[in-house]
Amino acid sequence: MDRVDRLIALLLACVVGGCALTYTEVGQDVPVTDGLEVGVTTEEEVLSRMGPPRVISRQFDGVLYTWRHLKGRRRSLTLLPIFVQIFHWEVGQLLRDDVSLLLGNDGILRAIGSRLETRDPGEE
Amino acid sequence: MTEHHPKRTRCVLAGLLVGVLLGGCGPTLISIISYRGHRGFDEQTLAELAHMVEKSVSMKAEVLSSLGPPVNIIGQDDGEIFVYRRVARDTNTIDLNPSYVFPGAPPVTLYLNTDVSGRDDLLMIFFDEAGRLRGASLRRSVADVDRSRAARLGEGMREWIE
Repeated sequence: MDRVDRLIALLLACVVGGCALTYTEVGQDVPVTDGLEVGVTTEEEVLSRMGPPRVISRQFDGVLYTWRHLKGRRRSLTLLPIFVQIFHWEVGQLLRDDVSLLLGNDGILRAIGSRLETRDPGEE
Repeated sequence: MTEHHPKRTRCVLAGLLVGVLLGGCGPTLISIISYRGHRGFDEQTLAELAHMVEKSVSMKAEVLSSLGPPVNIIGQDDGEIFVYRRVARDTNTIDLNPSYVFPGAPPVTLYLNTDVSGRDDLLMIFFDEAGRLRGASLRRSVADVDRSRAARLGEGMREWIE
């Protein structure tokens, strides 16, 4: 490899060396709600099956328990990432899995709500 | 005969280290940054909500099962508000300064243009003390990219790369 080739290789290394992928994940997979029955399952059964919720919200007509899993993704490309950055491009996206259970004041499960974005293959 | 100065050597090494580290945080001539939050709700969600509002006897349980968990809950003296939200942020900057490229040049900004677009889709659903649906309020602006160059550029780059 002569001097020119080395120079080109160095230049290319500098130019393409600025790609970065950053993944952020907060929490574990949300628990499945299989086996829970609206109007039947009690608060004790809910907590023993699902484990402790991440968020508890007191309501006039009961309580709302929420299990949450966040997944962030950030991709960036920087051209010439030394001394002066010629061009920097960055894209970020936050996905979220939430499962919420509404329990009435009598301690009985009233509703199940879920949104599972991280499992959607179109978002990965 | 030369004298050895360990303190001076450490200072020089520290200075070099700082210089190398700062080199990675150098100024950027053109910068495009685009961020999108989680989806929050979609057209199907809104259609189901409109149907529930029309019925005027819908309950919180029904809304939760249909729309999924809210991103935030606001407690009121006479009920609660479920909040569903999606956030979009786009920023682009063009910063032309000859001192960035030529260290001896004066640090004079020839051209600086920063364009920032922050938009959100916000849906609020109101419940009374008994958990009955009282109403809903909606504002959408994430898809409204024509009002800002930063939004157009951020969305365009996203579509191109996806």
